[in-house]
Amino acid sequence: MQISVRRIDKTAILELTGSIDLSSSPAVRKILLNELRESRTPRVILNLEKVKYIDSSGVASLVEGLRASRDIGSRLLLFGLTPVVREVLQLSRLLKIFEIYENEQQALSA
Amino acid sequence: MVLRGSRRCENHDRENSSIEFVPLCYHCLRKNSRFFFALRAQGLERRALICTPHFAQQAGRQVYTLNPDLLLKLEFPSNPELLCVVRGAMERLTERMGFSERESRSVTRAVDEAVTNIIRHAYRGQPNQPIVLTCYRLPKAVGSELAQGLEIVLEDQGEPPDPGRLRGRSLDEIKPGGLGLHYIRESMDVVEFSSSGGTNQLRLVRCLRPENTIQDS
Repeated sequence: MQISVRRIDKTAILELTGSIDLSSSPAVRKILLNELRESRTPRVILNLEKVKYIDSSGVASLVEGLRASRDIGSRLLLFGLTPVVREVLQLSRLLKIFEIYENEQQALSA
Repeated sequence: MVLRGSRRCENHDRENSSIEFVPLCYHCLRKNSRFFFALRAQGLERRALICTPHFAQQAGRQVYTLNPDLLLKLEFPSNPELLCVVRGAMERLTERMGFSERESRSVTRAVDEAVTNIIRHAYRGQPNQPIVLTCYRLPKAVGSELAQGLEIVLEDQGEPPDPGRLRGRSLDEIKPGGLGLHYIRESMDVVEFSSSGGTNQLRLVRCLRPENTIQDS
């Protein structure tokens, strides 16, 4: 699992590559919560185009990030959902809970 | 000499009148080649060997008998880094059995979540505890729409789960955690948990739908 962060103005774009499972979700959770709670970034965008797999612990990290963003009044957006990620979010009935966009451009202009 | 009729098998501790028992360990049986070949000529040597590990153990030898329905057996430590290996094996196995791509992902996800639960809850994150994953091909059910399937048995020696936790949680509440069991139940046709003698066992069954073809090798 690789995580890289890009910044455009007051937006942080986190690019996740690989599988988000029990071995990697703690790192995803840490970076996400750090962006939101510590850095207080007004808008955090997750690029999930290169995520091959996500398990319940990965979904839990995203939900925790969403709650943290709501707590501090910032936004958490997702884009580039692969069929695997979409399937899991659908199974968890979370597709309508997250702000989801097709690509980075759409997410940035939302 | 073959003993027929109802007799308690010392190794498996159960009675089965349909199995013939040979009162010899595998080692002794093989030494008595005439007897061994006589049994084989009658097609009985395999049945006789079902119960020989107990006798063989007494003779200081271990005997492995392969279940003809066995597809895969993995024994691995409770290290989260190995989850990707388990997923890889399950993906290939389910594809090979004829499950669709979506079904394959679904079964793989269920197994991944079950192993994750063992690591997190049964072993509380300890990385070097034993987990055994065994997959069997289910026989054809005559007269049933569900022709064949995959049975997955996961065993661990950690803490048995709290029965309340096995019920899962409502998805109406948006909160992290508690989704793994939901994924397992959504993916599998049968989910059974049991615990006995310090071993926890999770049995999962996924049936092959009729439109899927079996790729026998």
